[in-house]
Amino acid sequence: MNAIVLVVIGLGAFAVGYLVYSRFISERIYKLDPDFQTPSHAMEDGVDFVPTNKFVLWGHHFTSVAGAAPIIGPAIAVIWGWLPAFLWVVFGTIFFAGVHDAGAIWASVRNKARSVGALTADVVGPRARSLFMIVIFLLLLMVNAVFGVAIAKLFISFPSSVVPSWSAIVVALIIGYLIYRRGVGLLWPSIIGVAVLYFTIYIGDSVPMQLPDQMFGLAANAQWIILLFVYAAIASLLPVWMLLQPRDYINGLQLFVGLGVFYLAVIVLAPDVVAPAINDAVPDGTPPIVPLLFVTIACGAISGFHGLVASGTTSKQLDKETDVRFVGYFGALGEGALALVAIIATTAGFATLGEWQDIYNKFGGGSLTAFVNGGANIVSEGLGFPREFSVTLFTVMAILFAGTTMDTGVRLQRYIIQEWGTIYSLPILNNNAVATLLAVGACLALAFGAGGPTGAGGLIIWPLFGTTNQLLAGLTLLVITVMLVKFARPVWYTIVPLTFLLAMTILALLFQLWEFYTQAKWLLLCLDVVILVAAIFVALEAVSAFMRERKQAMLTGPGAAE
Amino acid sequence: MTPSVIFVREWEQQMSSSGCCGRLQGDLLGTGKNRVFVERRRIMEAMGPLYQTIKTRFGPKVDVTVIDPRNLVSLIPRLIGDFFRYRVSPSQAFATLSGVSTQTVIVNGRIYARGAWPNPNVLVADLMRLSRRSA
Repeated sequence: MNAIVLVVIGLGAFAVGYLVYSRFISERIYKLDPDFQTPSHAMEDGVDFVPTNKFVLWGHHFTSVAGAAPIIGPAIAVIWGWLPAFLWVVFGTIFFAGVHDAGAIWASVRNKARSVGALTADVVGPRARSLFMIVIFLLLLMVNAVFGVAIAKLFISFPSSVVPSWSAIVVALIIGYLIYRRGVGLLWPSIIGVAVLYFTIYIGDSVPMQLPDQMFGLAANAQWIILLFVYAAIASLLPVWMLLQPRDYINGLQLFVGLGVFYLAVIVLAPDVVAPAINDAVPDGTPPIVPLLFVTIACGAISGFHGLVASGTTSKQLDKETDVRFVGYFGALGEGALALVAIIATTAGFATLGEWQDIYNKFGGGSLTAFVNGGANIVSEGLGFPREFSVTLFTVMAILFAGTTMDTGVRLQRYIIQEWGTIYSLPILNNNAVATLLAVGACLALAFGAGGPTGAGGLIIWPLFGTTNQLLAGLTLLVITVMLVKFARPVWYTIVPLTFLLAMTILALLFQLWEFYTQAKWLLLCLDVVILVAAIFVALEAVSAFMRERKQAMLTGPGAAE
Repeated sequence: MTPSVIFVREWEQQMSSSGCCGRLQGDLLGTGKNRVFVERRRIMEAMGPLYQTIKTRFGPKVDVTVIDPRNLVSLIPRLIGDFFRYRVSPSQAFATLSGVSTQTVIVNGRIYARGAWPNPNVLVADLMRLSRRSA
């Protein structure tokens, strides 16, 4: 099977999904009304509420949703073969993510652009806000731990990436100073900054950096994880203009350059997929494909965090309600296209099946390495880039995305801890240093608790992250479903994804609960229990909210909410 | 030809790398002393009266767009379109591309103001002159 076939089928399916299914959802289910006065017009103020052309808004929305997770999930999931991952990405994007992302915008627009968090509280009840923040905190905890582990593994596997990755911080600091303190124009510092970054990538192979195999009793992997969290702690305390804001310019350019380079290389090279369609020789210890596939690939099939983006800014800029289809649904397709990149890189970027099996010898073991090596092979053979440059390029791209998430994640965790300090009258939690130490400490405990003394096994956390992300998506789908009931519209198109997600989430949690128990991984077991309780709560609230609204709709008459 | 006004300014949100996993926007912008993007918020709020004045005064007679400069996939094509539409010379186009900052007003493909929002009345007067000239 040639990778071009996968590209054509995948992107072709997305096109059909957009032309047919999104039109059906928009016209028959959400009944998007071009004459409905969106909040951007009703509350137009030039500050938060600004009617925006749909093409401009799509660019904003897509740049906001893209990240590293559509890479990691599929890169892990192809261990079961390329076909299941491909099918879940394609069908998940068309029937789940598109409906979810578009529905989140629609639900927010119909409620004065209020956020999903606020709407969840209305629909589910006052406890929902606390549940929401607990789910977010757990998400951040897991993603920080996983990304710390993932970046450390990349530094060890590809020492050429160390200098460029840390140089990117210096580049970002300089860009931040020039743009936000000296008022220099944005374009040239960004372009020059990215060019300098690519130069350091080019010379990265000449200056590989490795930490000692052992230092203070810590293996190199463990040393990197700790260093990364020290970085994340410091970065999260810096004013945002210094480092976080300028990274938006570097990462944005990298995203589009990376996507463009990779797809061009695939078209030119037309590599063959060497991985099996269905892997009937999965390594020992690989969990069952059902339900784990559906929580291993979250972003790229459906991601709860997109609901936050949709209802945070996008809904405040939506010009016409009918633009929901292009901005929300098409934005989800873009994410699916990113996931396809990961699938192709990790299944078609190797010369032989044996080479692929050497990397995929353990669940979660080779995923990022596979992405980097496979992607680099395709780009270097397809476009003639030196292989080492390509390897470092892909590694640094993944690291920069993940590193930015760590900075943000620790910062957000600190905010949530401080909010709890206020709610529960614990003033010590309001101290920045204390809250940051607690956040970082929790992440380190998870990374080493899950990954062992070196932290190297930490990617085992990823499915738990996926379940929590799906839970967030479930909350959003619940809000959309309740609104459809109020409007007396068919609910199958959201209830089926909602039920499927909750079922897979709960099954995956139960399966992993048993695994963690038998392997005596008590920290992960506790985390699993917390998420399981939250998932069961969401499932019960979903049933209760649905029945309540249905009864109310029957009493008030069809379409009364409109 | 309808004059084009592009307000370039950042939105109060993070816009990279964390779409799936945690980002600073919406409910997650912090409160009180933890409020993030204070400077951006100030720029957004300062732009409000300027935007409202132009929209109220001209309505659809002036094409007003607000674009986040991080939204390169939209900003660059829009600027290039304006360069052709309003016959901006290559040197002026270069100056526009080079000069876009976190607070910029671009009128008909040329930088009108950067670093600070202009006086609304002055912008109104200049747009009226442009409208008369093109009429």
